[in-house]
Amino acid sequence: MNKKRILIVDDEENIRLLYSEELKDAGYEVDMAKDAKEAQKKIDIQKPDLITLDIRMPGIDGIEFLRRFREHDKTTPVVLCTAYSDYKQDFRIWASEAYVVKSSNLEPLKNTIREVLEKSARQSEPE
Amino acid sequence: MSDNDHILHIGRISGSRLHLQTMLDQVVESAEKQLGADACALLLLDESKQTLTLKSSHGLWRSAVDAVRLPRGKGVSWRIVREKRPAALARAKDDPDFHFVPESGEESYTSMLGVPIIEEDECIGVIYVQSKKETRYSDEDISRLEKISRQVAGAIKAAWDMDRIKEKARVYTKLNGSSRLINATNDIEEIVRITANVASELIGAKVKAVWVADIDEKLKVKHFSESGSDPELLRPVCETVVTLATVSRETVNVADISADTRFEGLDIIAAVSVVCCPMIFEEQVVGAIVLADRITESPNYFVAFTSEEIHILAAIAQTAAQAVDRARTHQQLEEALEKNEQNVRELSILFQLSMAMRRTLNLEDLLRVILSCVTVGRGLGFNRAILFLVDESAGLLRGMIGMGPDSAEHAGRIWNDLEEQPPEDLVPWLLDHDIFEVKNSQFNRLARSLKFPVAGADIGAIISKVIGQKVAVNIEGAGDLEQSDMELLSAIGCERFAMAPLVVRDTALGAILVDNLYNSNPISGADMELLTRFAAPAAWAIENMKLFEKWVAESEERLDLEKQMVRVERMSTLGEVYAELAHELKNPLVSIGGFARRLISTLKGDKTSLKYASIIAGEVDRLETLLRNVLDLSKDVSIKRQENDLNFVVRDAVDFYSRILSGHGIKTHMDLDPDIDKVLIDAAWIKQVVINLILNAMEAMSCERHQALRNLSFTTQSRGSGVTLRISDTGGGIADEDFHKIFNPFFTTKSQGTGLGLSLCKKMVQLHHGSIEIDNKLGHGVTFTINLPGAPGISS
Repeated sequence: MNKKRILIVDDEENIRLLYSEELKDAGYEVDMAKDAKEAQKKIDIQKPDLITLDIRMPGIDGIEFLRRFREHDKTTPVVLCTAYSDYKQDFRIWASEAYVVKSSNLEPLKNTIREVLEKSARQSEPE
Repeated sequence: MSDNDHILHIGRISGSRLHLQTMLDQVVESAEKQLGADACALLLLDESKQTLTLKSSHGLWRSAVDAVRLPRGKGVSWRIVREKRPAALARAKDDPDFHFVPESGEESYTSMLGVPIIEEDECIGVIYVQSKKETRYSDEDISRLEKISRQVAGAIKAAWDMDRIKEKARVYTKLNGSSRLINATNDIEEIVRITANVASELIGAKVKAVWVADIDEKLKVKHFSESGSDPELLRPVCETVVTLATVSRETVNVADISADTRFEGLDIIAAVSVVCCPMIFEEQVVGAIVLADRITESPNYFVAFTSEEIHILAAIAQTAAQAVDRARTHQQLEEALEKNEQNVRELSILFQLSMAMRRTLNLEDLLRVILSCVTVGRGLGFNRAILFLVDESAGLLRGMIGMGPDSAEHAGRIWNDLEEQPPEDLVPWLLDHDIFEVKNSQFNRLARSLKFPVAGADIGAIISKVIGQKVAVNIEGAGDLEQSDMELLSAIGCERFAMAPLVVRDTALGAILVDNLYNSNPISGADMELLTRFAAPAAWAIENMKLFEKWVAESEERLDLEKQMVRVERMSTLGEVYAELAHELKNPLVSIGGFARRLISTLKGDKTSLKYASIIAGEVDRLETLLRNVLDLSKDVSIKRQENDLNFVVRDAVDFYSRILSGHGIKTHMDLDPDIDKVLIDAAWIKQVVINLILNAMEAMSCERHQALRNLSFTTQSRGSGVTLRISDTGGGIADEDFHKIFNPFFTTKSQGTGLGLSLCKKMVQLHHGSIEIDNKLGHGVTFTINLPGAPGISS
């Protein structure tokens, strides 16, 4: 069974490193991008199974990136990561599959990723 | 000379305007010749009609004229007067009525013919001729003498009329002069004196007295003089007659009081005449003039006052009445002017006081200005003054300030200084110049040390009167003081002082005490009136100042509140900065904490490193919670209110923590109203509130002291238009000193925790338009009560 490929989009290098270490430990294949531009390039080269997307980023922020991404990809799940729950009420995040508040405890993130991928797999099975 | 010639002669004499005496002398001489007699004499009745006086004679001793006085009696002369008929005696001594009049030379005559002198049917005297030898007088002789008598009667009458006219002229001249004299003065005493003098000059009387009505309209004797032996003997008579005259408003003339029933009981034996004229001006009795015991020419007989004299007296009374009224009007005018002046002074003081009110900004200054007004000469001018205020909580009247010189020398210096530089605008000057050097004054120190009870058994009589009854008192000496006042007396050291209450809305808020220790001026009724009047606005000024100070204090509190508000505003601005900062902090924290956790999972054997990594992870956890709370508090939280069941929310929160709670040995009790009204709430936020309170309770009950009893109970119920949730713990309560701070952000007594929990709870409940209350039972526990408003349109 192929390892699921996750693209981590975050402007913080340490966060990218932490997430990639954790997610690799959890059995995923990990790719990383430091901003929206790089993320788009990576996606263009190889489409990931799931994207973790930081909202606050220099340049194009996560929400704007999500909007553009959804214009030509309706299916790839995106988990939004943010420092705080400010964006809960922002309807624009509805385009994402999940919303995770960043924490040093990465269990909620890993649980969410697993759930989203399982759901995605179920939805694509009939095809 | 023929008879006719003689009669013509007499007619000529009597028709001429000769002096009465000259005329009488000529008539007597002429009559003697006409009748061929040796002597002739003429006697006239005096005004009392009790005495016949020899007025002229020819043939009798000259010395007898005016000396021979025949009292009413049996003599021949008196018989003639009585019978109005002639008496012709050939041998006079044969008549039983005849007696020689001693010291007249009458003894040398034998016969006599006398006829009455009749004027207007009244006998006014007798004329008779005498001869040495016995003479039988013929009818012709008689008729001749009667003719002479008739003529002389007309002449006497004419002369008397002339005298009377002359006397009237004299009297009116005198009256006129005295009227001018009386009207020249505005001094009532002087008017009275002149009136009495004029009356006694024009009318002879032993007693002259003048009564004048005072302002109270009671008649009082102003002048009483008596030329007799016992000055006080006739006083009751005068008093009686004054009463009679002023009541009847008419002149009362009594010829003989001993024969008048109105004077019964006055123990008067002698016959005394009295007359009293009321002094009436414009129908107002202003006084009365009394004359008593008329002086007569015949000392042995009393005479009533004549109508002529009564007219004169009435004229004098009229003049005097006018004068007294004018003087009184003048006096009233002067008093009014003085009063006006006083009013102006008062107004000026009051005006300045109100100015001071605006200029002074604190009570102390105001009290100083008030006492300055009371002590400064241009104000009320008392030597010393103390202002007391009632301290209600202590039940005491406390001296607040004392103003006055410490010694007589000090007083002199101060007052001299004041004279030298009279201030235009008194109060501002007083504010700038502490004339009595109050701060260093011994008297002020004394005043400020004074305190007296205003209630209870120890209250002094004066203080009871001034503060209790709100009455001003004027103590004029030690005799006015009671034992209970001795403390006050010994404190101020002056036996004569006055004290006026400061009354506002029927309550005495204090008192002003004044005295004149240094100049010993008595405190007059006018002083008291002014002090009392001054006390009223002063009391209001003090009351206003107290209110003002209270208002300022409250404003300061409000100002503090405003500062807090500003701080909160700043905090919300800061909140944005915090949010930014928190975001920036979050990522490193996630890295630190995340890698620490990774270390924990990788460092399997190294216990020390594992412990360190755990500490790092734990601390990061705490920082993350802190950051989250800070952000929640600082940002504008929008809540989404939906129809919800509070019981469900509470149960959800408790279920979430049930394992942890039981792990801490805490028993939970749920008493949830099954019929509770639905409410419009943001369930997530209210759940967070409940969780925060659970965590608080858990923290409180987890310490060693509360091992035995660890109960956490939840109660819900519908309450009018909303619902109530009560969460009670047995954590021992919150210490008093901490209690008021628990809703403050960052306040915590916990070793662990951010201190933002309760303030967040409060914010959340307030966002729901609800309230959160705490019932803190120290030693037992805390009950939080959350009231949430019901949803309009939702019924149970």
